[in-house]
Amino acid sequence: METATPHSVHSSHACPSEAVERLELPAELRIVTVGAIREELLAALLRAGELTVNLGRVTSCDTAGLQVLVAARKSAERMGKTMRCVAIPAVVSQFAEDLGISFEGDAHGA
Amino acid sequence: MEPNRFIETFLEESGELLASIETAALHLHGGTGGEREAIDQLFRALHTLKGSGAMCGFSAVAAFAHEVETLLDEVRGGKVPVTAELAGLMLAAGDHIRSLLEADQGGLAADETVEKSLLERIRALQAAAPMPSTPAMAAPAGAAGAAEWSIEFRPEPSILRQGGNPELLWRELRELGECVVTGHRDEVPVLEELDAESCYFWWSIRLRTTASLPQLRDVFLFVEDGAHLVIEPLAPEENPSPGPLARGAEGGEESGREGSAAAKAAQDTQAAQDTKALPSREATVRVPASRLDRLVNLVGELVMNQSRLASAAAQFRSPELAGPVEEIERLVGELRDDVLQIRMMPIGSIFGRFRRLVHDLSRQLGKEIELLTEGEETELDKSILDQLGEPLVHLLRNSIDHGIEDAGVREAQGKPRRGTVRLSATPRGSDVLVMIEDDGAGLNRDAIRAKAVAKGLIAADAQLSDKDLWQLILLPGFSTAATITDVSGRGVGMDVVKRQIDALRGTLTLESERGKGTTVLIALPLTLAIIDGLLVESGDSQYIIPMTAVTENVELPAAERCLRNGRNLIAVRGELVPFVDLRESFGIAGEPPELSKIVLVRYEDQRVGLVVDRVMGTHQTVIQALGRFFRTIQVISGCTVMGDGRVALVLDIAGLVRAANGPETERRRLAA
Amino acid sequence: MHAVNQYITFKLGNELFAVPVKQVREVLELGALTRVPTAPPYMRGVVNVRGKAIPVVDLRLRFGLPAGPGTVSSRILVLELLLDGEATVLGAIADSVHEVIELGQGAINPPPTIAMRWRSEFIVGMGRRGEDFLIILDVNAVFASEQLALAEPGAALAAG
Repeated sequence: METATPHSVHSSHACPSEAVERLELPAELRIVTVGAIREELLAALLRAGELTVNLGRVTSCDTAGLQVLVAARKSAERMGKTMRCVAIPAVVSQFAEDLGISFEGDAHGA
Repeated sequence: MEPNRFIETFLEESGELLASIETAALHLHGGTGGEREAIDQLFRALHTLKGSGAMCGFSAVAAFAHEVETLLDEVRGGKVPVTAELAGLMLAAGDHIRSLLEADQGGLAADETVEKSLLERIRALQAAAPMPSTPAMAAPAGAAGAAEWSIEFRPEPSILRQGGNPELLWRELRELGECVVTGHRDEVPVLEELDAESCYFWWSIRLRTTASLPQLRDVFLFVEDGAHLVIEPLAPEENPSPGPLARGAEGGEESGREGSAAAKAAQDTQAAQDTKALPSREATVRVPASRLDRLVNLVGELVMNQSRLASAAAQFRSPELAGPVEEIERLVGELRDDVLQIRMMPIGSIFGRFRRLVHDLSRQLGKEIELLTEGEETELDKSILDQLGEPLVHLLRNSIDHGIEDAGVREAQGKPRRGTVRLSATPRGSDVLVMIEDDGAGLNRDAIRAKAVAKGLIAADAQLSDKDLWQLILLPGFSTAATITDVSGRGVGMDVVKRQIDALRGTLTLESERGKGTTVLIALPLTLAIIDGLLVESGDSQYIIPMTAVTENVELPAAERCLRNGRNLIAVRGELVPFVDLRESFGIAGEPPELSKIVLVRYEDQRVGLVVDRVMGTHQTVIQALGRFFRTIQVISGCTVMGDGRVALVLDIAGLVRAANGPETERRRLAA
Repeated sequence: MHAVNQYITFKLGNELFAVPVKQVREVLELGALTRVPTAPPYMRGVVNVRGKAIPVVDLRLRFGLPAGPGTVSSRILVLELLLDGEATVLGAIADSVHEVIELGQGAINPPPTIAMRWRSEFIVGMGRRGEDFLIILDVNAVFASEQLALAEPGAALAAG
């Protein structure tokens, strides 16, 4: 099984706890990369008070990819932290719509 | 990535589908009647090729199959006649799909001109049709005759890992009609607990379509194993919106067509509901099976206390009391039936894994085998279904491994290369008859006989009917792994299967004809939860004998007992019948009464007498399992709590007969 | 800070045992049992507990001790077990049931690994009650096991 190369998922800066953390996802938000993405998201959430996930580079997405974002949001909610997805490409929002699944929080941006 | 299981399955399956297209097309060509079935077979095959092809990324196959399927739907609707041209076209279409598949697997690219000319022939047939055609499968939303369905799909968690793409299922469903897909995220855990490659999402879908239940099921054909899939019809709207329907009344031809479509939808709905009228838009509720079990237990207690109440009330002879007590009896009876009904599930719910098994095994063994299933809608108690899978798997395995011959052998014998295994379920009174039939080599009479003689199970000159001979292979230790395959044509561990069926209070018999095939017949009770029993007593112990086993009960004067060949025998109307004295066998203390009773029970073709002190009468028995601590007990199959709070034990007739006879007598019986 | 757990104590012969209160559904007097023919002697039968037939085990026999006298003080402990992931209810006959006690984690010592009369895999630990020792049982382990005797083979037993 291929996994995402670690540098394709990177945080822009290592911030002290409770700071705003930014995470840019790789082009492929798919089952082959979700393992690494899960780790990165988890690490970023643990570091951050507030996490901004940038999906601007994502060009393809599958069910496992969408699911990891849903799980990340659940983690954030449980940790009492804020997670926000930005620069969501049409390929992701269309896919989420096809699956009938919202990957945003129930209250948008909460 | 591990090899894509879905693609592999599809390629395997497509070979079978193409073969069935060919058979059906030849059938059409022959013009020997049964066109309707042939068209249906073609339609299903192409529909599956389309759906699974799209699911597995064979888009060229899917697109072409869609065209052919559309044509076939028009044939089904009577708009395109069955002609020799149609039959020929189907053969050619099958060939073309085969070459498309080969091209996708790195073979030569399929000839585009072939497809073009085939499409032209399809168009020509459609053009000759009296009515302009509409895309068949993409039912216009809101069309009359469309039924509304509710679908719930919880995939096997590994679906993603194995290359499945749920979104393609939804794409296909959307093609079938107006479709609302709702994905559910509630099962998705937090990141810390997430296995990122497992699927936690599940879906509920509302679909309005003219497609039939089998068509809907076909969409899930490759992902239903291990998945939770419920497809239920919602009743057609009672007051449909006037818009689309009003149109139907305008043209006679049009409304006629829609009328028949409506009838078809109604039929499918009917089939899915198992003849029960469903209130409009009935909601379904999922409850854990454990809650149902609890409900059954509570109803059992209610039944028990109701009978206590009735017998207490009888002593008062009060009309004020008798009225309500009678009414309660009626209500409790209804409640019991309804609760037991809730636990009934269609046997088809366990057939999915068999398709998979047959498919895998036939590939493994290099045999060509088709599994036909019938009576999927036949219902059985959930607890029986849960325990039925294992013996059925064993029996199917035997049919495929030892029953069906290699294609070459079959051909040489003038049989079709492809072997057939038919798995069917039919309700029969208070039983369900499950049959596994194969058209393989059949049991080998001489080999079984020789082996039985060698093992000392029968005398060398014993005269046995075929039926008795076949039953021999059900005896423990008859078959051993090393020798069975080549000898009897039937496999290892039939004794285990037999015991599993016995435990379900079922019976198992074999029929076989050399060269023609073997049939295993299993008769199962509808439910295990409540049985009619005969309550008997020995000493201060109470026992329940399942009524289905009881043939009669007689007095037993001590003088008529005799001992012969180490067995207790009693003369019943001139015939000597072996008997089991529960006092002796169960070590019950105290003096037996002057005159014992003997209850004659039948187990398969053996009659056995059970000697008891008293016969108390019939008893509606709510059976409880004895549980794991008594799992090795063979003579008792369960227990029940009586009205007075005592616990009575339910006798296991098969186990008692075995214990009474032992292998020794079994052998003698057969040798006799 | 250590958690404090409640235990029910009971006796087999002179030996004092304890099981967690949360695994004991109720304690019944020893009434009429329905014997199940061909079952091993330590399976004493089934008993009706509010409409449900519960299997009953004789702890003495199950543990390889000599059969007890069966006195007025004999009781059935109705235990809730988790065996192979399956919730199971089982009645267990003890010579007498004593009291509910509280034991902090600190008051429980690990079972000694050597020179032990009882099979250590069935024992959570040893506790003290005044001058008496308590054997705290892992009842799930005891009844999940096919191993009959609680005592180590050859160990001398004071019970009786």
